Order: sequence, then C-alpha cells, then structure tokens
Amino acid sequence: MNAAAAALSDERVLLDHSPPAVGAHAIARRYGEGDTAVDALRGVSLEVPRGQLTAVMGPSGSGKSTLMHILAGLDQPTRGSVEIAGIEITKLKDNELTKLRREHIGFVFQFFNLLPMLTAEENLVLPLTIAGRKPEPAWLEQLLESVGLDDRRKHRPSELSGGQQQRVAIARALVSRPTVLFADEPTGNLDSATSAEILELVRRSVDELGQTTVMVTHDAVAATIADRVLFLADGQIAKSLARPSQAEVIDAIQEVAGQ
Amino acid sequence: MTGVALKGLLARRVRAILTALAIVLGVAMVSGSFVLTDTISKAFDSIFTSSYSHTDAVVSGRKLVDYSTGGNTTVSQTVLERIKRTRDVAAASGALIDLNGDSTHANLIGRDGKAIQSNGNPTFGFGIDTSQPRFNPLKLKEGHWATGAHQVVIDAETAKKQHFAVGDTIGVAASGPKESFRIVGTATYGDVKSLGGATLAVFTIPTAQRLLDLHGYSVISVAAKPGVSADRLVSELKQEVPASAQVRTAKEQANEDKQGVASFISFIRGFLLGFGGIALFVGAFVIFNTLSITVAHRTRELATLRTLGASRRQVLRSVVLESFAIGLAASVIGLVAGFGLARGLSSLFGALGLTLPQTSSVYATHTFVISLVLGVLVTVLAGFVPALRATRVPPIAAVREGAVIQRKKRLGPAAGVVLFGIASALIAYATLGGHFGSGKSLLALAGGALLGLLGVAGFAPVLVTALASVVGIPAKRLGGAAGGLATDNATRNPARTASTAAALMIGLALVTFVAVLGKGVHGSVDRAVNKQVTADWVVTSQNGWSAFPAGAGRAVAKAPGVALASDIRSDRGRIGSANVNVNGIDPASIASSGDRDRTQRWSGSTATERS
Repeated sequence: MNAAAAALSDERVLLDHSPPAVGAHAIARRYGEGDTAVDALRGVSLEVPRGQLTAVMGPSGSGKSTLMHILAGLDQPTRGSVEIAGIEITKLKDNELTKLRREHIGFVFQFFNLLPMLTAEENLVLPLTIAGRKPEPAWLEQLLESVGLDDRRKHRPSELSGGQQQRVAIARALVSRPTVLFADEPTGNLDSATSAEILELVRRSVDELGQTTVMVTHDAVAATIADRVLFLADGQIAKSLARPSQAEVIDAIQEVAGQ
Repeated sequence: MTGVALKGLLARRVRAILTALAIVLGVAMVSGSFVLTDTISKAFDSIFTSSYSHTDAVVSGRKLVDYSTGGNTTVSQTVLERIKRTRDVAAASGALIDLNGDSTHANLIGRDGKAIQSNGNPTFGFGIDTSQPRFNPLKLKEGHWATGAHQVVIDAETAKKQHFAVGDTIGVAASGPKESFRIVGTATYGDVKSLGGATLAVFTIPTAQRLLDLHGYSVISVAAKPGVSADRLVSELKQEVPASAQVRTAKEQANEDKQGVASFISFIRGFLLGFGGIALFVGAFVIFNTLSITVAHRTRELATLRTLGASRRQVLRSVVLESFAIGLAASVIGLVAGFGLARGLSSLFGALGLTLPQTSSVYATHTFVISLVLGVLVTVLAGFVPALRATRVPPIAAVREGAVIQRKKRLGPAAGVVLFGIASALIAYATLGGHFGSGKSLLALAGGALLGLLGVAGFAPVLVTALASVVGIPAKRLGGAAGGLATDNATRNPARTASTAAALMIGLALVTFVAVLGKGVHGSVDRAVNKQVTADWVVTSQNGWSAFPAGAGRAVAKAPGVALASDIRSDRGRIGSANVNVNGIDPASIASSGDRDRTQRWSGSTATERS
C-alpha cells in the first residue's frame, strides 16, 4: 500500500462515525398498475458500511438489479427512502441528482460503457472533465498504474480487450473518489480468467483505497471477494453472509432459490 | 464536454457530411446570389459613374411620365449655349444618352437580317460630341469616332460576337426604316468588360437626332471652373435652364440612373435567395431527421454521460454544439461554393439569353456575414428539438438494454390538421381575397404554403399508415415475405416514415412550384391575348413590348394576302397628377378586328406598361 492510498484509507477510518455510505429504509418498487402490476421489491432495508465491499446476489427476477438502480438514484422506489452519505436521494431534482452523481457515485457497467471516440485516458478522466475539474497528475498516474494500463492510455476502446476496457471503466469510476462505487455485473461479459483479474482489481480498490463498493452479481466466484453478501429473493433480502466461501455462496443460492 | 462532443462528431463524420450537404447547397445559393448581384450591381455602378467621371453637373430633360417610351423631354441647343455662357462653367457638352428610358434606342441589324437583341436587353443608340472627350463615357477600342452622316461606332463585344469589323457595313433601325452605316470604330463603356446583352451604336449628334427623331439633347454634361463646387454650379445652372429641364450634380444623376437597374437586381436577388431559402428549409428537415436518429442511436452513450455526472444542460449543449459545428462547416463550404456558383449562374443566365454585365467578382462583407449566420442558425434551430430529446434520455438507459426515451406528446395529427386549415385559409385569402399580387397577399401565400407543408408533416403519420397499407398490397403480392416486412416496417413507426418522406415532399413541392410558376406566367399572357385579340396574326417587336417603327404597319398592310391591318399605338401619359395608358387606334379598321376573316395587326411606336 503506497502512501497516498494509506492516507486515504486512514481518512475513511476517521470518518467511520459519519452516516453509512448508503442506507435504504423499507424500499418497495412496483412496476405497472392494477392486475399487471409486478412488485420487484417488497420492503428492503439495508446499510452499506464505509470501506467495505457489499455484494448483492439472487436469481433473475429477484429484484437485485432494481435494488441497485434505486440505491444509485437511477430509479425511484414506490415507497421508502434511500440515503447516500446522509443525503436523502429519492426526492432530489434532476440537477441535484447530477451533483450527487459527480460527488458521491461511481459506476461500473456490465458492458463497460466506454465512449468509443475517446482514448483510454480520456475515458478515465471523463467524470472530472464533465464536472469541469482537472485530474491531479499523481492520482491519474497511480490509477493508470494500478489498473495496469500505463502503456495503453492512448488506445481507443476498440483497440482494447474486454478485460482492459473494464479496467479503464473501473479506474473511471474511482477517479472522482466517490462515496460509493456501484458495479453492475462487472464480470458478466468476461471470461473466467479475465473475470478473476477484474475481481482482484475491485477487491484491491476496496483494500488499498478504502473504496466503498456495491456489486450486483450472479457469479458465485465474484461474491466470494465481498465482505458481505446479501441474497435477494422475491424482492426481499432472504439471507446475509459475511465473507462467505464459494461453497457457502452456492449453498445460499440454492437455499434462497428453493424457498 | 466540448471535446467529447466534437470527437463524437468526428467519429460520425461521414454521416455529418451527408447531412450537411443540403445546408451547403442552401448557403451556396445564398452566397452565390449575393456575389452575383453585387457583381452585377458593381458593373452597373461603374457604367453609371464612368458616365459622369469628369462631369460636375448634369442638365437633363425632366421625366414627365413614368415608363414612357418617348422618354424624358429633351434640352434644346439654346439651353446648351446659355449654359456654356454661365459664369462658373468651364465646359459643357450635349449628348443623346438615355440609359433608363427607351428614347435613345437603335437596333443593330445582324448578318442574318434580324435585329441583334437578347431578351429585352437595351439596344442603345447614342449621339456623342466627341470633340469634348472629357464628357465621353465611352472608350474607343479600335478605329475612330463617327464624323459623317453614315458612320457608326459599335460596342466591341457586339462586334466580336456578331463578327463585324471596322470597315464593314451594318444596318441600323431606329424610329424609321433600316439604314446602312459603315463601322468606323469599336468602343467599350468605360472599363466595363461586357454590357451584358445590351448593344451600342454611337453616331454624331446630328445623325443621332435624325435617327431617333429627337430635337436637342437628352443630357448636357457640365464641368465647373477650378475651385467651384458642384453644388454651387448646380444652383447657378438652375437659374439658366427652363422648367422642362432639371439640374443635378453628377453624383445625384448617377444615383438616379441606377434606380431602374436596382429594382432589376433586387428582383434577381430575391428570386435566387428564394431558392436558397427553400434549400435551407429542406436542409433543416434533413438535419432534424439525422440528428434525431443520431440521438436515438446514442441513447446509451448519452445515458452513460448522465451517470458520470453530466447535467441535462451539458447534454443539450453537446448536441447543439454538434449541430453548430455541422452548420459552421457546411456554411463555410457553402460560402465558398457560392463563389463558384455565382460564375455558373452568370453563364446560365447568359445561355438563357439574359446576359449580365461582367466585372471582377465582388465579395462584400454582407455576403460572408449573412451566409454564415443563416447557415449556422438554420442548422442549430433544426438541431434543437433532437437536442431537447437528448436531454430526456434517462440515466438508467445506460444499464438497461433497449430503454426508450420518454417522448413528450408530439405535435399530433390534430395540430397538423389545424395548421393545414390555417394554411388553406391564408392561401384562399391570398388568391380569392381580391388583392392578388399585393405584398400582403404574397406574404399570406408564402406563409400559407409553408404552414401547409408543416401541417401535412403533422398529420402525415396518419396518412402513412393508410397509404402504406394500400401500397403494401402489391408489395406483399409481388415481394412475398420481403414485401410484407417492408410494409410492416413502414407502418411500425409512422412518424419516422413520415419524417423521412418529408424531405422528398418538400422537393416535390419545389418542383411543382417551379412548374406551376412557369406555366402560370405563360398561361396568363396567353389568356390575356386570346381574350382581347381576334386577329389571326399579331405583329410585335422581337421582345414583345419595345417600340418598333411605325412604317412596319404600312408595310404589313401592303403585304400580299393581308386583308386588313389595324395599327395600335400606346404609351403612358399624364392627366393631372395621374399616370394613365394612352392608346391610339384606327377606328375604321379596329372595329373589324372581331371578324375572323380579317387580319388585325398591332403596331406603331408601341410601348406597353411594364408595371
């Protein structure tokens, strides 16, 4: 762990008494109306502690994606409230949400979502560019080095492998030092060897930078790097495991699916 | 964000270039019209200013009636003598030069025996006192000025085009029958390279007076003694000349001469700008369409930008910037293309017989400003709705496949019908309101046509569904599965199909407009003549409205096979303060013109109103 990361990590520790990175209280989400209404979430409450990696798992249709969208302010719950860094986000106006995203949220997508016309480095600093801020050179170098793309910085996404693209995307999510990083199936579009690299990188960003992270995944291997795994079924949290092994995860999935 | 938007545009450059083509065309039309008309204007300017380059004051006959064939009154020899004796006058010289009226016209007869004339361009016949070269607006190119009664100098351009050389004999017809003259020289008008289609015949003063049937001079150029201002000279001269003459400074006279030409130029300009405007209108539709499609394609990209912290305003700005960049690039290209187009148009007009005066091209500041501002403005406005739509892309579209932009309720078929109704009312008012041809009705007509197009575009989605199902029947029969798919595709998103067809719709509207315009002009002339004239033949001058010698009437009457011929003379006259048409007819013969077996003829020094 280098000095900068250590300092950052210390800072996070000092802030531990502040409100949790993300807090959700009895959120429910219903799609549609009347007979065709579907309840994707039926009252979910949770807290995402700072400096930890929280994984959300569950079978398709369990509501895990909806949960993440609502936690990240991309969707609105029908009931309940969500707080990020102590800010109630479900009632925010569009420009307040924009501000929230700039300061507190980082995103990693299943399909990378890099801008094809920008180089790796330009993509990496895009959140800062959008916010009208300049990246600190040392921080930028550190990021490029830690994601191992020092020699690829001038390449465009089309010239990078899937794994390299996802690493750029992770660095992009880290660059503004958000309160929380949301990763939506970050390994869902990658082969297992590359997935392992990506998971290692996600874990490392939590350990070295103290980056609070919420990861939605259906991959049991992915879930094993988490500090805590939440299992969703039928729109509710069915089970919660701390630092589970792969076997425990698989058992939990079967248990949850069998309910 | 600016960089992101521009890099994105660069990545889609092929599409952008194709999109911009319509704007390029429109702007080229606009810049071309300005360059062309400014150049013509400058050529005429130099004609008029060179007329008076060494002149301080100009004494000319007063204009009594507008649009008269007879021209202005003349100024007599006595007045010239009196002017010469005026205290501050250094020199004065009389000439027969009437640039605006018809009074100093003489047709040159070509080798084929027909008058050399192109589409109503003037055929000048001047009488010039060459003993005082400082007042002579013409420059001798070859030979010498006319000194005798049967000598003429013609313009160098006509000499070259019609293959006449110094020493040749050429026929000239003015108010009387054709006479033969020897060409003793060729000349140009000042430094103007080409007079357009105009021809020029220069005689001695007495010869010109006889040919044109004029007494005195149409214009007297006066130079002041050193140290005397033009204004002072003018006020002195005013005391010397009779009421039928007027005195102006050379500058005022040049401006006066320009009036007639100015309206002609503004007509050409308006005509060409009209086409440019239509091209820009089509361009706006194309830009609107393409940017809409681009925005739809980029939904995920735009949503990603939102999740990374881009505000709606930033998204709006990035799409607006994109259309701005397209507009600017297209306008710059169009501007330059317009310079070439101006030359092309000049040649095109030449090929159509409407030769325009030439001089080096004029690139005025307003050409640059108007072309660029117009092109950019139209593009940005057209891109604004797609830009607004881009701001409605929800951030969640970044993670959700196939997320659709929530549409605000679009201008529906109902609004289209309402627009079309307003348009119909406007067009009805313009055509049936009884003020046809007035500025107000033309404005109503133009507005009506434009609203009509928008209206049709509004309810087109409804039409598309109906049309596609009809057109789709043979498509399904003949094309099988492919035909069926095509029909389904056309009806799946009628709004999209309709807006794609909109550019074609405007193009067709344009073609129809030009065809109707051409047919309409012909039709109205044909009808007017058919209604009034029951004669078998009508004799007019070559261009249809200029005067021609009265002797022609007598010649026609004597021709074998002619049973009856009736002359008509017309000109403009004044009663009190009103200008009226004055027609002269032969009561004995005109009454018989209703008889189908007889022949009526219109002739005489006929002029028509050109209002």
